[in-house]
Amino acid sequence: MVNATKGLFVSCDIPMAQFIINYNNTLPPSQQFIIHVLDSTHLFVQPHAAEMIRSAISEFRDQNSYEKPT
Amino acid sequence: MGHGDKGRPSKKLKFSAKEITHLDDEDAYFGGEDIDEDVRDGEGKKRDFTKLELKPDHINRPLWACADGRIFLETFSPLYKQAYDFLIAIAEPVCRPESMHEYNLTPHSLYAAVSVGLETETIISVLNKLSKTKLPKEMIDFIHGSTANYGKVKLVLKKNRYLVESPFPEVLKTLLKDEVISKSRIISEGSRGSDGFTISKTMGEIGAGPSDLLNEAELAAAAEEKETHAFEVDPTQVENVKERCLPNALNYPMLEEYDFRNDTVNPDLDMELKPQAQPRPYQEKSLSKMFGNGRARSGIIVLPCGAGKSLVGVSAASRIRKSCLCLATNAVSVDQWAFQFKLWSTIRDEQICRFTSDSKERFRGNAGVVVTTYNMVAFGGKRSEESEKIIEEIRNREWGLLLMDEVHVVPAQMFRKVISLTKSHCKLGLTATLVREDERITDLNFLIGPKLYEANWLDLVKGGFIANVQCAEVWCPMTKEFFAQYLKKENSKKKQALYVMNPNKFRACEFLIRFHEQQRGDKIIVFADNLFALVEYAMKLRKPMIYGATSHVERTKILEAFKTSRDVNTIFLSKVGDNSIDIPEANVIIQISSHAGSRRQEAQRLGRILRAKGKLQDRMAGGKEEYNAFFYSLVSMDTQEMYYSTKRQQFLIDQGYSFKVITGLPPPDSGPELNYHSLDDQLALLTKVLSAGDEAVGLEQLEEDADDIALHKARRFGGSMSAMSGANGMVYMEYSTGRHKLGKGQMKSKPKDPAKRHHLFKRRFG
Amino acid sequence: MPQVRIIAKNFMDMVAALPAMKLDKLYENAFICEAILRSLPPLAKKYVLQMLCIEVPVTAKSMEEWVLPDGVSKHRVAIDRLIQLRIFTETVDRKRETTYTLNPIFQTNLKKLLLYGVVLPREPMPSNVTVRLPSSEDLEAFALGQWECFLLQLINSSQIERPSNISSSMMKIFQRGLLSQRDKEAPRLTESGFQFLLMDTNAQLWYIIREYISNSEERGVDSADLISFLLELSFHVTGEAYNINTLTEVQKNTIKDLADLGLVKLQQGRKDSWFIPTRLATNLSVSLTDSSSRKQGFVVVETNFRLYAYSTSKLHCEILRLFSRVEYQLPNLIVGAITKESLYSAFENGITADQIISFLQQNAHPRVAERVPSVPENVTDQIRLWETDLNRVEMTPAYHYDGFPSRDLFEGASDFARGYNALLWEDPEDSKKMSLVVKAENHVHMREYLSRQRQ
Repeated sequence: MVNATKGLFVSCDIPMAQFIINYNNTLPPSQQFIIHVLDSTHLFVQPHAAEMIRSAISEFRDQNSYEKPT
Repeated sequence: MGHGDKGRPSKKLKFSAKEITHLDDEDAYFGGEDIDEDVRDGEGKKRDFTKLELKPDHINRPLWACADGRIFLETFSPLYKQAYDFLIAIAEPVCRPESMHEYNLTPHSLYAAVSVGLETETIISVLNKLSKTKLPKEMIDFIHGSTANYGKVKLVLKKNRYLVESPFPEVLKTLLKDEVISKSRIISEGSRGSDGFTISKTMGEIGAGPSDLLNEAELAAAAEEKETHAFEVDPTQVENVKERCLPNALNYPMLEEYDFRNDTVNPDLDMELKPQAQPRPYQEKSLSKMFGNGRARSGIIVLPCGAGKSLVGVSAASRIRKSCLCLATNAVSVDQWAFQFKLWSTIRDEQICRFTSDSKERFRGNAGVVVTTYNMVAFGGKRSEESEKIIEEIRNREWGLLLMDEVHVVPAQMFRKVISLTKSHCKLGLTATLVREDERITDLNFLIGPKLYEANWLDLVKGGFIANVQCAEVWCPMTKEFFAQYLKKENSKKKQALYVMNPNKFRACEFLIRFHEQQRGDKIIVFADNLFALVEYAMKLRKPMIYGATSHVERTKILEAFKTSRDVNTIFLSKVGDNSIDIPEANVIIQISSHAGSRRQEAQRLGRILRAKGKLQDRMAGGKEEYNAFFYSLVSMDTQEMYYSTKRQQFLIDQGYSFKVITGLPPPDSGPELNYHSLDDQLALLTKVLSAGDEAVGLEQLEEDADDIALHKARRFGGSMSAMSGANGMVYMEYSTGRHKLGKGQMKSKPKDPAKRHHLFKRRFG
Repeated sequence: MPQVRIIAKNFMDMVAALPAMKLDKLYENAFICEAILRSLPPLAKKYVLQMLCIEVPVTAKSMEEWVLPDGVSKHRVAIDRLIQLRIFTETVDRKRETTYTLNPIFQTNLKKLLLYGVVLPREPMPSNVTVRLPSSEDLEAFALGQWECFLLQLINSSQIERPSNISSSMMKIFQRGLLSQRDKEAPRLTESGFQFLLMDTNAQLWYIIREYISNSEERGVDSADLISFLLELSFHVTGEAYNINTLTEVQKNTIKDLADLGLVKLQQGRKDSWFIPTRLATNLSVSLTDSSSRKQGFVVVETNFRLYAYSTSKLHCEILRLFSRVEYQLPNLIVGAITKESLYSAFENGITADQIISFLQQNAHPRVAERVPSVPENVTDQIRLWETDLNRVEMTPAYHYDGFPSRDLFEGASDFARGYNALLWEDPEDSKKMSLVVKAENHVHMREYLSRQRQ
């Protein structure tokens, strides 16, 4: 019996995939959004996770980048 | 403004040998640079100055001046050279890239301007001449306000009497209303005038002002002899009087000048520059600012590393021709200074001596040069009998010149101690990197004196005086396994070790070493602050290394091999190599780990390869070799290192350097010829990093190098030179003992507080 | 939101696009005929003049004999253009021979023109009536000032000092495609809007005029009348005064709009009112391809990401604000910094790294324009790297299929999805697992396929 699951296909580089996986693991099980880790650069996640992932990435990116003050 | 005060750590640091041990730890003394920046005024302030009136011939004038003190200078203006010399005297450079410079007018910069002999009206009039617009009223007021008190009072040591001197008798009267000062006053017999002040004439300023920008009348006024009034103070009270005059008290900070030509009490030192010692134009300019009115001014000269600071120092000593105390940051540097004195001047061997834990020499005759370290002078603990004797001599002597190297790395407390322990007529500080966010600049201003001159890096590059360095930031992607561990909360203390030991970074480093050794025949320094990484890298690649616990003898030996041997082309240095170790042969730097966001360290490290090599005509703009030196900073992507790396570069970027981002190193087709190709090797490395104790993978904390006294202890732990391993004769096996000791050292030192750093992130981005 | 492709169209393209009836009407004006003639490519001009006195159709064959072999492509272009503008009528007779005839109205009007000389639609007013005429510098400044003010209003800038009189409904029309408005948010420039701002003044003018014309019917103005009036205007003399009373009511309304755009300046005398065409108006007839003379660049970018723009223009300042942080404004200099933050907001607005870089390069100040590269490499690299950094993670709505009962079905489904170009991912061949990910929009097809296979 073939199962079909609706979701988001995430394609990215290796570190970003690791970041998303780690982020997922820090959440309580009820909020975890990864359905399948397909391979080291592809994930399948719940359809609503897009914004959450984007904002987590953008926060992470901000932490790692220095902006010269005015 | 004094904005520096806001970020100052409230904790008062008591001065003891323990503190000396982390001489280089920026954060410990500055409370983090971040805080300071964030409170800088002007955020969100509207800077609309479009209403300023343009002069009809604005095209021919080189600068814009804003009401908030910012000045923009076109470097392609025919008046650039004059305008630069003028601006560097009155303002702090903010950034100096190719086409447009930015400067800030600050109370400190104006203090410096006044102290090299520029007068309020001259500053305003020259600025107005250079400006494309009418000067904003706010700026004129600011200049008046800032210079009202500065430079009005001088402290002159004349014929061994301390005189407080001023062309304005009313200012002297104000000072004398102060109880401390009036009590310190010595009423002498020769005084004339109704106030009892001594009146004399002093020579006008020569060469300090932008003479070609002034008209004849203004020039005549500047060169005119000035009538000065003076009163004498008790030599034992000098420091107290000076303190009363500081901005936080009477606010008439005293400039210190030494009338060395009329000093008949202190014996002359028979030395002069050798004929082949030809100061370059910018060295000459520095000296002319220092000796502009025939006396020797105290202050700081800022020249990039490799631009020949030591010749400036030796020249200054040769002009004053009195005993000179030269302070350096470590023993290697002491040797180098002694060498420079002999190289450039006619000083005889018996007139110069080194005073370190290893060599306790004394000069013969009644005048001479002593080269030592800050710590040797400031050390408060028990000394050997021999040392005690020498230090007594240093304390009792009246020095003509106190020559201080690398003033930016010495904490203010140390300065205070050194300056109060030694009596000197003139203090000259030398540095390459006056990072302006330091609060220290305030201290330096008043402890040593104002900045006398600062060279423009790009101009020196164009002139072929320093190397033209290609700077690059090499982006190394984290491997999957290392990044997964990096992201884990439980590894928060190992983050640094994980990004430094990232196998992709190691491979990039190995690739670069091979490329530069084999393809170009270059000499390479690899810098790592992280001791764990330093040892891992050096051992794996079978290269010699120097770090805190490496003894003076070993260091000298390794450096010598690097200089002379064809087989030793790469050395690994911990941060002990940041300052003062002169390695003129090196022309490539690879930085694999560094001290957080320290802009100064980045500049210091670059300085290791700035000494120009090859023929002058090849180096000058348009010459054969466009780039002859390379500075690589290896950064693991997606980690905190990216943040630090960008921050670290800011100082150099402000000097006009640019960092090219390189991705894709090593090239994708490189395989097992570079280490850590196989996943198994990478995983083994990962296990090693993770199983090492948290303290073992942190920064190197001990700074024995800055402290020769501590070095004695270190050696007992570290084993001796004979512990060198057999294999290649280049790999030292005693690192484990060194590491052991490192753990101990760290327990004593201030722990890094990750919560604090996190807080800063939050503030910036939250 | 309709996608507006910005093509800096030639005025004549617009004329050519008019329906046949309107074109014929246009040619009743002798003056238009001359304007059209002037705008033609040289070879087309020659053909028109050669055919001016020939009343019979000319065969294509004989015309082809007029050109040398290497001129064939130019010949083709000329003929196409003439047919497009309905100056030539092409007929193919029974013997399949193609012939061309000159448009009779056009022909008559051009002949008249040759006999009696150029007749201007109206004469300048005598100088004893007009007073206080602006100098050419003043007029130029007025035109550019109006234009800049219009543009600032167009992009909804907060920097406008005095709003123009252009009705908000008209402004909305101009803004169509250049600005986008999301709910409750302030309107923002679209990608086309950004491109628009980066064009030179002539090209921008074209864009606006084209919108103005194509929208004229909604305002009850005949587009042919409008085109003809604008063409007329372009043949007036810059700086001369023309009596407003010579205009029709419709034209009088139009001239007010044109004054707001800076094409004409309106002045009021004691008795008469008049309009003075500016360079913007007289440039209308110049083919855009001719105005290749680039404006002098004004931007210096330094290796430290600081940006210095030699400009007094508020508009330039607004343009720079799109991707940089403006820090200082001086009488003739704008100082800014390209920061990660400023670029991210530009990227969010649909502006690309390449657009920003090409703007900086094309407007490089002469001091640095000679330098290679004119914008420091580390800056352009970094701008691109920041852009790529934003696009590191790609997310696609999709369906994940697993639990295939057989390898055959799995491979069949995979091939099926591939046929739709919808296969995003599948387990590699050597894997024991059998799962695949397909674009969500193709889920219906997949479901059908799978249920078909089950039967």
